[in-house]
Amino acid sequence: MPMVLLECDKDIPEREQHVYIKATGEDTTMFLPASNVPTIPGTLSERGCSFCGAKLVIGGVLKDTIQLIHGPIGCAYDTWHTKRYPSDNDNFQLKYAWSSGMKEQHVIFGGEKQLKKSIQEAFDAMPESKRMFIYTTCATALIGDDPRAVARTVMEERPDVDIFVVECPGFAGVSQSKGHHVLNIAWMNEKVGTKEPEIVSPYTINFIGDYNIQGDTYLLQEYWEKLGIQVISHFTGNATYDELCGMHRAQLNVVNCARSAGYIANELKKRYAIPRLDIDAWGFSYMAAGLRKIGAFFGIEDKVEELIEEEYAKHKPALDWYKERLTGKKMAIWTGGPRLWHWTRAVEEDLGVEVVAMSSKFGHQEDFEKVIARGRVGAVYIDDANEKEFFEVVDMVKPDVIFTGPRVGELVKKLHIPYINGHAYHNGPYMGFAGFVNLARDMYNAVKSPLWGLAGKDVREVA
Amino acid sequence: MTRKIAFYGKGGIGKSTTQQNTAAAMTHFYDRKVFIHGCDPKADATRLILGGKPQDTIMDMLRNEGEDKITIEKVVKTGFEGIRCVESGGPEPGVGCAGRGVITAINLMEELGAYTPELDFIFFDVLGDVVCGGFAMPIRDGKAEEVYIVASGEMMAIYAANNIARGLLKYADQSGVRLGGIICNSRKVDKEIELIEEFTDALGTQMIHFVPRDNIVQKAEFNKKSVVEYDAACNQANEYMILAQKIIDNQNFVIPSPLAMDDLELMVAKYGLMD
Repeated sequence: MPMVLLECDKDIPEREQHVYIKATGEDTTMFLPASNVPTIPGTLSERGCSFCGAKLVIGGVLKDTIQLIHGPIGCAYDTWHTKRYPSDNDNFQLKYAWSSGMKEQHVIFGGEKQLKKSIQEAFDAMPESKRMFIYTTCATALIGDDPRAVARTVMEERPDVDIFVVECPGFAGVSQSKGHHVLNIAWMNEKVGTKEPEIVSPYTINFIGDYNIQGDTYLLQEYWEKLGIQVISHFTGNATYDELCGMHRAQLNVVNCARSAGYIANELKKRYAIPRLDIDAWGFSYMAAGLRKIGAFFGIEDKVEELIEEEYAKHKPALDWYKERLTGKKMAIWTGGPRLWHWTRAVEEDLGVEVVAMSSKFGHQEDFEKVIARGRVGAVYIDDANEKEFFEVVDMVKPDVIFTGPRVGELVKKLHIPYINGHAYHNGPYMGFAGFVNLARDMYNAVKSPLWGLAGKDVREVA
Repeated sequence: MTRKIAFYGKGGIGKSTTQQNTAAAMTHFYDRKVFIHGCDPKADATRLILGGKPQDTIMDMLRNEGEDKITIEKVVKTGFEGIRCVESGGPEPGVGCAGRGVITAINLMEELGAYTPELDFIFFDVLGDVVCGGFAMPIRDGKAEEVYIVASGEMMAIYAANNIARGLLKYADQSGVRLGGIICNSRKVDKEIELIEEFTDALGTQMIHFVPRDNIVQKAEFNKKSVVEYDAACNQANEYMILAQKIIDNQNFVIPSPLAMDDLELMVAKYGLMD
């Protein structure tokens, strides 16, 4: 079946280019949803802004870095604390966010003095913190404030601090994806290679595109330690600012989230000839395949097999218990982009769950190529879906559970369909072997909960 | 019924001078009540009326004391024959957003009720060109209803006037703003009247008055006075009296039809190549 014009889109027929239902015998050379293009006027997009892509997704994860958002207060609040990425230093990055608190008069007279004052206040209030990210936002970019110049003067006055500036206002791109890109490239240009890591293992990697959502990084770190692999930089889960300055010294870049961090892996390959290896860190089969590739690269296949065997022995029975009870359940994945292709086959192979609808907020063409190649025939694939489309698709495919964010999750709750937080998880981590059992458990608990049936009942009928 | 008028024109064309002399003439010869709101960050739209008194601008107050502290008494000054004046002011050159300053200042004046109903005229004196949304504020909904563009027979003045007409056209439908005419502030260039008349014909408007060049204007300016205040009996004061009368009586309000760049080039070249 070619591209589909949903009933709710009849007044915005351009949306047909973004909705696809896969049919037998079709491949992505024939049909591919348009993606990474401007949102169509009239559609209520679920996308975020480009600044958010830089701050909330990547920069804000760093555990030792002051996050100073140069803009009105809301830009800081709305990108603070909405994603659960803990750290081993008591969650500094979750507890604090800083804003220059731009007001009308700062817009008119220029915000640089206010920014400088805010920087000084932040460093004074947190004397143990010597690293900072500054982000421009729509208002401060529009009036031409130069945060780089301000950062330079502060670094001259305070030689022990280091400041990195991300110039990616909300309007810079069509979605949050632009913010990932800008931060990746700027970090590469300005910071990678400025610090030398201490090498303690013959096997070194950067683990790129894992943000320690509810402890993903901790869980995978156990594997690296068992294998004797030194992770020079986690980009950016539980990572420090300085750790990321030494990315140029790894022998291999292992990439999980290719969408938000593939750029820096590509640059490291170009400039430092570090090979890029893409893996999927979710799901038993995928995790095992990824570990085997890394083992082959370093010639430590034996150790890897030992680890996989051990992990399977520990966790496979639990997974199978859930698989038996989840097989045949229907699932929708409405997240940012890569989790569509990470998860669709993983849940099918490991849990017998059929993914019947998938929607991406900011995926690019290559994400849709991957997800349509991996996804089921008959599933609905949507780019930048809107609320009405979500409801119409729910009617079409009748999912038992939806993995999505809290915004859409709250909507589907009203239809008495359980949702699981596909961005920040319910009770993660979800990566690795133990993590995927957590995902299975959350899915089982959601699908089997009697609450959904009761929520629609009029109690007077029961009595 | 208060008539709200915006004066636009290329920087240095004599816009503020013409505006203040017109205001002085309206007050002195016709007993009209005028309020001048200067919208140029340089804050130089009221010095001839106030006798050069340094003004605390709205933006100065906003910066130094905060929005809550701004009152009409603190920022509105009264000058020659009761003309009330306020200056928006703005950031130092090269920083911030002067356009946002214009928007903020006009909103504040409206909120504070500075534009009182007994006024006959409110003049918005706006800097050179409609460079961004902020400087278009005076011609947006509910603000100035008529616009006069100050121009001369010089090429760049015509270009700027055409550009201002484009900005006006953009807002004409939504705000109802209309062009009342072009004021020619003479630079004594050849065939000045002919060029301006051909230009105003093309725009669909009128040359409402030709203000001749006269050194007494500069002399009065050095004395921080309008010509009317400096010497109400002189010929130039008479010219401003006629201009004031024409604006008071004006019925010719149009949506301009600005020229395409090529047509404008041809028109200007025709006069420029005459000698």
